Amino acid sequence: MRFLDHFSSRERRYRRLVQPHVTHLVQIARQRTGHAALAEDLVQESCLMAWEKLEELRSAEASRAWLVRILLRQVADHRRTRARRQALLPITDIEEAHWQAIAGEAPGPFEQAVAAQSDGRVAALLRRLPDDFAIVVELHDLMGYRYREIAETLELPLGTVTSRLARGRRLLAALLVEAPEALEGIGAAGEKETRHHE
Amino acid sequence: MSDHDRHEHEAHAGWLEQVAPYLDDELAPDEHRAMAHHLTTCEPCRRELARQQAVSRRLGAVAPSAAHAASAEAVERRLRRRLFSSARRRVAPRPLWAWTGWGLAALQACVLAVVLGWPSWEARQGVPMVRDAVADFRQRVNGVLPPQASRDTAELARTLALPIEVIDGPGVEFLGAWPTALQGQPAAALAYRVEARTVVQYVVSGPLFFNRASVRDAIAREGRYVAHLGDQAVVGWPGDNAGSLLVGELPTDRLERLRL
Repeated sequence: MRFLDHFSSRERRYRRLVQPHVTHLVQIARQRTGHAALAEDLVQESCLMAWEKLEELRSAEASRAWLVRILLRQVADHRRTRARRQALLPITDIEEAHWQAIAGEAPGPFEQAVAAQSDGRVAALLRRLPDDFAIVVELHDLMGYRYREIAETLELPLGTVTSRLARGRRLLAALLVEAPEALEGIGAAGEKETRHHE
Repeated sequence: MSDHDRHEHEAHAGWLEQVAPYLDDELAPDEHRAMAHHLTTCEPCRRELARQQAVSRRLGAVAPSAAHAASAEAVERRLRRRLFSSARRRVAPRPLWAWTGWGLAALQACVLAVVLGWPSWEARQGVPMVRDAVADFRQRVNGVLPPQASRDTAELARTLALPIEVIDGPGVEFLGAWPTALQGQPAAALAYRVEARTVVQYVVSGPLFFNRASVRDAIAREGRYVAHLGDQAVVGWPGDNAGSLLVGELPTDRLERLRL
């Protein structure tokens, strides 16, 4: 029965450490890619990789963060090798406009404009942010992670998480209130952007 | 933005960086109090807070999609097939030393067979479990299921304490499942219609499945057990403390593809 035990113990470990997080991984992958089938493929590949590397995982507590890291690497690899590159955003221009807006605007219209956006548009605009910002915003505001959990998951300093979350929200705020026709030009304007993420 | 405004913003840079963690309740108590006090006097920081809050709230209100659950189920189904079947042997091969015991056992069996001139009892008679499965299948080959057949495999799995996974895929129609016995031990039978033929899957306990050396050796070597008895082909594979035998009048490679 050793033969059976060998596989069943690995299987038990997989079922305990990986399987409970599949839905969460799908949620992240779908938000990151915007495509159901692609998200499923990337999660499947991530779980297969997790199966291969199961010995590396030392504690059940670390399993979600470990799996999310594997998935985000899969997403990044996919983008690098096959997918269309993200349209670049003129980050500095957007942030400059943000500072101007908060210096002069009256409270109210911005909040109303943001609240009026559809879920689909919010999710789509979030995907237009550079990955470094978008992932932190998604983990915090969509999936309810605390700062420390994000830092552990992405293996980043806490200060970087704080900064990326704030900047990510600012960028998204700007995109959410931009007129759709103005957004069309963002990709082209991105030629001159500076992507300093820290 | 004028130079004065820019200077003011730069002076506030430290405070502005605290706005998001203040909103998210991530500041230490004394930092939180200091930020709260600052907000009473700083209009730009209040506006930044309002913006961050509006975005955060809007994202928090994005409805979780029911499609996520369906996607997760689809992924899990595919993974079960890939990982908990013979394919996993390829993904995670056993270390070489782990095969030594099986290698020695196989060697001993060969030596015995040669020395005793024993032309494999199993080769002549078939593995009893497989023989019983084929005998049971022959009663169902015309597609007539026993009266107790049901589509409720969950209930059957509970009753028999066996993990039952229904095979699904293009061209495979699940007809029903019922309890049976192979080698006097409880087993689940699941009938399918494939290419206008009846195929039956027998799920048995792990101890019964691995009872015979020929099955153990085949699983160790190939990840599956294949046999022919008359017109019937049999493909066996291990499951979660259990094993399955698929019996049908189809080529074995077609039977193997059904479970992938």
